[in-house]
Amino acid sequence: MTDFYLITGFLGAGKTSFLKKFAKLFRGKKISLIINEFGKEDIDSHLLEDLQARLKSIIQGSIFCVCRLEDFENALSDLLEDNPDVLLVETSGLSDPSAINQILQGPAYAGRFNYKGCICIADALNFKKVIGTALVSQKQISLAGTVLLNKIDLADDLDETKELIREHNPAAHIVESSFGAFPSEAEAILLNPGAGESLEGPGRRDLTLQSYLIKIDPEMTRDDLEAFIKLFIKETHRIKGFVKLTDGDFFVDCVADNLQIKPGKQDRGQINRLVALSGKGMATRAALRAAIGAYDNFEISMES
Amino acid sequence: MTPKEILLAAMRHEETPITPWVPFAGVHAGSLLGYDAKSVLTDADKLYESLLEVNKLYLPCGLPIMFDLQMEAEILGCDLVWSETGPPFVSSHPLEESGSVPCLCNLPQKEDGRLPVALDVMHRLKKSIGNDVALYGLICGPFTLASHLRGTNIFMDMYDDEDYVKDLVEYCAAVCKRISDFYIEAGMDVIALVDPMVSQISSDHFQEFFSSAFSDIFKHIRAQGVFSSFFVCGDATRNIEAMCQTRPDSVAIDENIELLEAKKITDKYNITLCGNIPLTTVMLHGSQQDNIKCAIDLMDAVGQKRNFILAPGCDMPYALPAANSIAIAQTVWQTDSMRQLLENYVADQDEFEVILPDYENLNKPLIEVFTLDSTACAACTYMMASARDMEELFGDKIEIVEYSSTLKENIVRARQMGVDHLPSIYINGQLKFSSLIPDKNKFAQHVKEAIKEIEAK
Repeated sequence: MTDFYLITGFLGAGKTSFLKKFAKLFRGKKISLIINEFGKEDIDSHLLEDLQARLKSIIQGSIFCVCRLEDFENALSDLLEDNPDVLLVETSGLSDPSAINQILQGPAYAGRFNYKGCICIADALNFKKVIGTALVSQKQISLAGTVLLNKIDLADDLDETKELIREHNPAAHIVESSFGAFPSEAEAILLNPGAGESLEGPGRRDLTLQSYLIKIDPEMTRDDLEAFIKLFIKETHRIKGFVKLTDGDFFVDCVADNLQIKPGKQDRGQINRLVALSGKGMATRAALRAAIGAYDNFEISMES
Repeated sequence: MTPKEILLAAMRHEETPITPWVPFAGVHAGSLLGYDAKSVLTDADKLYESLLEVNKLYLPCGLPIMFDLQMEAEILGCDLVWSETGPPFVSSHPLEESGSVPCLCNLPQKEDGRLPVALDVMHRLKKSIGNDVALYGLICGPFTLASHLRGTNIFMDMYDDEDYVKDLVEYCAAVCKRISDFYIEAGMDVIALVDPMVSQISSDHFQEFFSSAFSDIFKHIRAQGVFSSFFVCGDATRNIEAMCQTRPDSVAIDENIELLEAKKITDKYNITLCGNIPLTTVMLHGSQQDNIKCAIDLMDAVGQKRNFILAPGCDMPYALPAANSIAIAQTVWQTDSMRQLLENYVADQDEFEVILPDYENLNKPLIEVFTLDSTACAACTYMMASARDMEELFGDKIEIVEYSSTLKENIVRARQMGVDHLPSIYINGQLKFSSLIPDKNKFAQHVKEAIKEIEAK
């Protein structure tokens, strides 16, 4: 029967870096992966070939929304048809894993896989901030059997962070990590991560998570775009997309207020559409409206 | 006819043998068995027992299952502050800063929040007393829900960002329809949209932002063969006609609205009017005779037994004496004999004398907020919140005080001040906002003027 692993963690925690290393533990086995397209790093084709893994991506739009769960179910059903030995699922950083858990526990999947558990990747540097502002982050921690505390090389108050993790999930194993790597003695834990318990109390929805699709005018230059994004970047968790401008093709990738516009091109998907993700306490809509107003000499529009 | 048949006949606008009566016993139901407000709104067994007690003592034709306008807000991320003697109130607003529009895919599910409690009790009551009593499923209306999610900023949005308000209300209407589906499936005979905030805006704003959402929800309910009601509280006189145009089967009002004036409008649209026994002055603080007289006066004023349901103005206060509600029930079922009891009726005189402030010689502006109860009534919550906004702006340069009608002394004070409608705001003894929540800028302007006036003296 297929061994099923769920990998969660907030935006920028390092899920994909971890996944690349974790997948190598299953070398020689028939591996399938489901990932979200919005991750910072892509799973490269070389790795897939090397491991002979099969991949399904869930792409575009409000990837953390329950409306994308249908895509998840389709991908899951498709991959299970092949009876893989291992199925690794990386959720979107803004997704509520309890919704996926409900699907997995449904009658459609009874007896079709062996749920090995959930590993949540936590960014040691930003954990305190994230856990306080994102309800999904609390759910991700509480539903994990094992928490991989990543980026420990950048953080200096690990004990405090661990204490905070234990407040949300006293029973979780905590494995320390940098760059998604883990010591060999932690492999046994990660191969059997176990599952956490759902949060107590009534089920609540998080309306503060929001995605915006921003249509960029191809008449802009790279500098125009950079100045435009700077007007609202502080009010977002993440901005990402490919653009074709008057002075070239670029890949935009921003995490928090770290803005990167590098030469880049993609053949599939939409061009000149940036996806911006925002959360609690971020006045993204107002900031975007103001930025679009400031650049009204270009054709820029947004939708949520 | 069973009590339920009488209520449903009234909803069909037919003549009824007696005036149907619906006690809005929310947290008050718990008081009958000694359960506090939180217990009765979170524990299915206690709520079920309490509502059976309401049915036994108050002989209702219709019975609301859970009167808590914060239940949907809690599911959608608002924090609640609980009280032992009132429904919870909302203390945080998830969209207050972001001003975002939630995805229409992110709607409540049956498992969310306290919906399992409400649905469980609905199923059980349907089975045990559902043949005899019409069951009401109460839903927080789209405007009040939008206010819970966005906070008082929504009043500025109506001027600054109209599209945003429309999008947010569309989302809230989708929530209402989703909850109504759950309640209809659980066997509710009437779905009531309870939206006290409707009394706090102008008729133009109601038409511009909310009327199509209400029409849409009532159409959705009607399509499923279930009756609907539009509950408002506060002085919504200016909006009654627009409310009727959204096509509910019934409109429920409180004592802030003159019953016969409202009836003229609802009759024009052949809509059943429901109301409006005063909650505090009569039901909470009055005697049994006061309650019998009030019920008889209202029924006599309406005259015909058609298109009218006798009910309290809104959710009954927790500590309301059961004897008063029982007196109303008896009056409904045995009107003639109860009329005899009133032969020697003499109204009680006020036992308090209130000394009003010396408004001409204040050291700093005094903002007085007259409410039903800002912790129990959403319109009062947001009127009080708008005053708190001024506290943030002006700090200790102003003084703010709330007079809640849950205290008899405050009712006397309101009478002495000539307060006609609740909630209302007075600055230095002058009425500034009556049943109309001001936007922040307008309110701040009044406060600045009051500061200047005092400084000039």
